[in-house]
Amino acid sequence: MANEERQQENIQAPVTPWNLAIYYRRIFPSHVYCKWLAYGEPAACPQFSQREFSFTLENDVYRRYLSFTNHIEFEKELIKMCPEKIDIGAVYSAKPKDHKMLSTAQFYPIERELVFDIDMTDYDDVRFCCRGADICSKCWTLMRFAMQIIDRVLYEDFGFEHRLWIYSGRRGVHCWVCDQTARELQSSIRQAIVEHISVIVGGKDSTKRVSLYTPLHPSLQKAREIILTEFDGYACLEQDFLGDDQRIERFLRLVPDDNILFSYS
Amino acid sequence: MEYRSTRFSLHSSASPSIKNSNVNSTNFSSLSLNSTSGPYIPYYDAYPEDLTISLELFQTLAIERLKILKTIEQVLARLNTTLSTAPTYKKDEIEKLLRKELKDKLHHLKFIIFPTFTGTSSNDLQNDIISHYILRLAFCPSEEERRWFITHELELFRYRFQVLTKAEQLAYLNDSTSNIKQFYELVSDEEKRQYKDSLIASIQIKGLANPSTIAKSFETTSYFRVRFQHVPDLIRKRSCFLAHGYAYVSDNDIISFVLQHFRMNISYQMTCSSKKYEFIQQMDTRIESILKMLRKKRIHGTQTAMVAFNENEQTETITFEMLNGLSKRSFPLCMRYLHDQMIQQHHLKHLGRLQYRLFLKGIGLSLDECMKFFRHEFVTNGQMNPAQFEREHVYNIRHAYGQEGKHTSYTPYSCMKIIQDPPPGVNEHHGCPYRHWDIPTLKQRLTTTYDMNEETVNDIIDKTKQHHYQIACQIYFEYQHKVKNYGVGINHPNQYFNESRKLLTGATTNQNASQM
Repeated sequence: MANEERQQENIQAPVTPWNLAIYYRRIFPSHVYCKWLAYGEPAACPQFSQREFSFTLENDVYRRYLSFTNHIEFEKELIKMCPEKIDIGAVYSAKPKDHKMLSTAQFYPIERELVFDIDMTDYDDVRFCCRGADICSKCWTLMRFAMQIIDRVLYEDFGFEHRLWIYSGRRGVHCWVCDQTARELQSSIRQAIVEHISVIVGGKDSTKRVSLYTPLHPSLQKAREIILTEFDGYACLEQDFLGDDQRIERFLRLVPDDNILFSYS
Repeated sequence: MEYRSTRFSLHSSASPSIKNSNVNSTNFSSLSLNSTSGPYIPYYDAYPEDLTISLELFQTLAIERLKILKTIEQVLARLNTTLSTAPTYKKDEIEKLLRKELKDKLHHLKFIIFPTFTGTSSNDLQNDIISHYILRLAFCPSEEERRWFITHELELFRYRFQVLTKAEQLAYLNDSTSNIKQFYELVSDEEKRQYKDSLIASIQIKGLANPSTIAKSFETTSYFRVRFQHVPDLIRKRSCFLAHGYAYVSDNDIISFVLQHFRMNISYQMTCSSKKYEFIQQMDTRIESILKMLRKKRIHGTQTAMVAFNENEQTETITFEMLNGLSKRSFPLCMRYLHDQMIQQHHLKHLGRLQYRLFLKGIGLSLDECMKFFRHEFVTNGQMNPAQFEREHVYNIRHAYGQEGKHTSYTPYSCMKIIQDPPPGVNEHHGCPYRHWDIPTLKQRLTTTYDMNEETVNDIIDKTKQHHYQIACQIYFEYQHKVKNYGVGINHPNQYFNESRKLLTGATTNQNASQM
């Protein structure tokens, strides 16, 4: 590898196995982390030992079905394996590390937090300052809108009290809903909640559309109010969404009413 | 991820203090089951105790209910929908087709699909519950069977519940014998007023109704507060108002949580039963054999081979010269294809001959005519010399008609048999086109050789991909005869032929059959 490339790599990837080990030993808050997931003292909660963790090690090696009886065991394993990424799984009916010895009747998920993942790349259509994994203070407003809207729905509509919003480190935020009722939810109702919050139809392959009717559903009304507080600042000042012909073109493509569309093109 | 333990969190640990109202809106509390004389759908949450029925009735009831559930499955597959997502016009079609298919096939459980038929009404409720529980027993061991049973029982329940009047539906909620009362609370008038604008905005009227009618209907509508987990479909469609973890459901939508209550009860109880099933198995071999039969019928259908097609139905005289015309008008694709290959190649290999020959016998082609046909194709038009024909084929044709050896009159192959038998190899043309031809070939042949329009071809391909071969054949039938939603599926090539002749000759009785 050329010196230049190595330099680039050092700037973009300051994490190495050496300083990761120091991080896990000295800085990573293992006890608090495990207390959060155990909903109490880890060693005292049997459910903690049935929680699945997975580590992504160097070279994309992925280790699943890891489980620990207390936070000390967890920390030891962290230091030993130095994962680049940690994923938190569900609480199972038995210790995940024993799963190979058990049948599906004996080993199955019992509960799992309700987690939402908001990705900036989904907003590439409506921001001009950045693309992909990049993020700046101008387009962070979108993230703020999303968090406020979803947090309101989760608390006021669904009654969830224990919501943890966390920056994922790269291009988005996660929301962990940890209420007992949330943890017990079946996949079908989780899917229903996501569809309830979703407003845009169509994905990568088809044109994205928003079809709404008056009167707006109360939760959409409240979402609209949240956006209106900062929309002008975001759209006009920060993004300048009608600033040139190309941007005007992009905007017009979103207008569903053909009459209005044709009178402007 | 599906969780095994279903915990019913009826009250959230974080619920605010919503006062339990003592006010009942007038159109609710006065209703009880005794005051409505309409059809009654049981909750199925308790088996009637101290009951003895004969083994025969046990079997009959179970098969009848399975027939109902199977027919529902077929009708929904045929019309490509489910009762929860179907628009109103499709719901009418579902009802029509369901009633058509089950018209003469139900006795003890006729009232389930035809509520006006009461028969021996004193036993109706009992038969309803018993048949449900027998099928529960049969289908509790494996997850796939449980899922199938619950899905179709839910569709049946929805079908029966949707035709109840609003009063009857509300009476259902008021029934003291079920635990459904734990699921909901009636919203007081005071609270209704508090949330008035939000409640109205939550009903998706899509801007068509005018504000005064909406306001008027709002006054007379009752609302119920249920945990949001109990109305997933309303949540998904964003068609109810939510506050503090509770959904406010209008009396038009109570089916959502009634069904959820039904689903949760059955699912939980059946999962429990499945764990005890091995003990049941050891108890009685007669019951176990009935349950095994039910499991088989769930997959293969409840029709017996005899009912699928009636040999005596065919009364026209068929000569072998008529076959060309008949194949285009009244043969299913499998047989039309065999016939075409026969005409072109002047030969058919063994399995093709078997399948086609028996079919021809079934349509009423006499032994003589059949012999003439084969001789005409193989010898006159083909390469075979007469002596070889005498040696190799005469005996077999006579045998198929029961004129040789054991003198068994063989029955023509059903669709099930044709689909499950060995597939055709090179230069073989037997089998079921939808099962055995690959999709591009099927598409190409339907479009070019059989001159079918694009829409119908795509419809058939769709069903073929979903392995609904008999529904694909049904679509071909309806296209050929220019009818719509005529039935739920062809089970036998000769059934296809008989239905076709009925349609074509019944319509114009004066014309000579041979001209059709």
